[in-house]
Amino acid sequence: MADKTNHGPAHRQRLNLKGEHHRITGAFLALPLVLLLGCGQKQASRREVQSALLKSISLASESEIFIQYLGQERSTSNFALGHLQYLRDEITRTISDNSKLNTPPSPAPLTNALAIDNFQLRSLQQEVDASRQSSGQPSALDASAQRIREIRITLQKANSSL
Amino acid sequence: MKKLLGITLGIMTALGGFVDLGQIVFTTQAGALFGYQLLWAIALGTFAIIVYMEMCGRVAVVAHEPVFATVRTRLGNRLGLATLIASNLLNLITCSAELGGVAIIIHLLTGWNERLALIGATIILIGFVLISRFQWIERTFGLSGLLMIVFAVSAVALHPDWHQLARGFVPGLESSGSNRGLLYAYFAVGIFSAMLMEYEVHFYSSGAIEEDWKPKDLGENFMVASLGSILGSLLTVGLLVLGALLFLPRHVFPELLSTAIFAGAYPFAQKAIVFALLGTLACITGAAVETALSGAYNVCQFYDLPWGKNLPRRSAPIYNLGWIGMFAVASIIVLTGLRPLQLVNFSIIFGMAVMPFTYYPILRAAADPKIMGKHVNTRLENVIGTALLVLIILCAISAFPLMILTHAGQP
Repeated sequence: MADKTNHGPAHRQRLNLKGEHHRITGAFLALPLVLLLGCGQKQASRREVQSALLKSISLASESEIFIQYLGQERSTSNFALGHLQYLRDEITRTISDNSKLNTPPSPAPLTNALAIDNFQLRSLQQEVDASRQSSGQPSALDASAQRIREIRITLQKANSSL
Repeated sequence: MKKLLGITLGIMTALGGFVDLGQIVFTTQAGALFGYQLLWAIALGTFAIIVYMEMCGRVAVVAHEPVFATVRTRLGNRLGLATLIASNLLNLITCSAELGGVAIIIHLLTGWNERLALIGATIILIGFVLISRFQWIERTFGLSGLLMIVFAVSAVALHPDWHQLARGFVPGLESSGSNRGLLYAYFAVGIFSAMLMEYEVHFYSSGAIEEDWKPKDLGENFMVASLGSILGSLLTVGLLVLGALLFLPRHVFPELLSTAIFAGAYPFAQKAIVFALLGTLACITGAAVETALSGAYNVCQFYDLPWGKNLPRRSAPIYNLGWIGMFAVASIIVLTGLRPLQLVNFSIIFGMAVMPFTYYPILRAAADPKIMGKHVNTRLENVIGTALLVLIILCAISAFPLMILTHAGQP
């Protein structure tokens, strides 16, 4: 992961675009799964979906600033590992809570927004896991914070589209 | 020097009450959602707790009536017993939450397994309280809790807008929307409630008797109640400011204890994290001790049984079994897997509902010239006490509906 940050800006941009494509493709692939999982569950309201997105934005934003802080080597390793684990647990809980909202009769924009939310949360979970492994490697942490920033922006766009 | 150390009762009471697990996260959340707009709730809560802490200390010293003796005599046996059960349930839930918080902090400090940290910390705490006199308990937690000052320093280091901050002491919501209004009300009630948690007056009035205060010490009573509460309040303001400066612009809604600690150390380097962790550990541990001891005080005072940390252990068996039992049951509750912050959210709102039944008897006793003699409330004190009691009752009525309507404060 640390190697990626050593490339030039053009390469980084290509990687970012590639990452964005993966996220969008992933969101579409996740859609049928979301619909399947939603059978028999309660219908999500616009407010509930917005609330779910706000929570995900909060988690992404917090992960971003904390990982930036770690990149500046300002935390103890026990605190870093512990807090990242708590963040990861919170993301897992949020994914689980979101699964209760997924439902076929929801209007399409809501279902799409939820699909994006779930996919981005899983990406965030992976980034937090990766940061736990990269503790003490500022360049890798910096790259991770950058990717989390993109996740946050995607979530904010999904929220403002509602 | 003795008088100076006497302040530690006020500091431990206030830090354990204001800067416990729930308040740390709750206040940071309030700052993250509303900036400085809820500072007035902290100021109002501080004023209310000073008034009632001084009153319960005065009643304890002059009439030798700690809070639960007052509850029994003023509310009668049935309502008094209901209040005792509710208050001790609340103490138990809060003690569980605080012990869970202690385990989290130990994990963040050392990397040790949380469950083992919980069991180890409970055993050490029981041992410490068992061998320590009351004065040493209050001094240990009162003084070590001062490490929390790192939160206030961090808040200042982030350069708050002092003009806007001062405006936060005037109630008012700047943004619109019904949900936003409900959330604002929920957080205002929650902050006010957390600052008036019953166990503060249970512990404070019992502490005044443990310390053998006499009517000539009543001036000290006011100083201890005021200074301790103002210090706790300043740290609470620091937490809210950190939420406003660090989390509000970034759309973070902090839901973890470690997030609030991170905020407390944010402008500084590694040592600040350790200070913030140790300060939080001291306050949360102090709150766990306060709630466990309060549970035992309440039962013994209600049934007029011997109680006190300074009595020989065999002379007060129910009291000693009571607080040890509180610690043991509280740690078992956490070991079942309940999350400390879930527990504490519930305890803040549940605490509000029970609050009138604790504060009303204190006001009645302090206003009774038969038992208070020349130390009875002045007319002004009665007016202020009654106005605050009305406010407490209004908050108690609105607490549960607000919790349901806002999904326990979720934005």
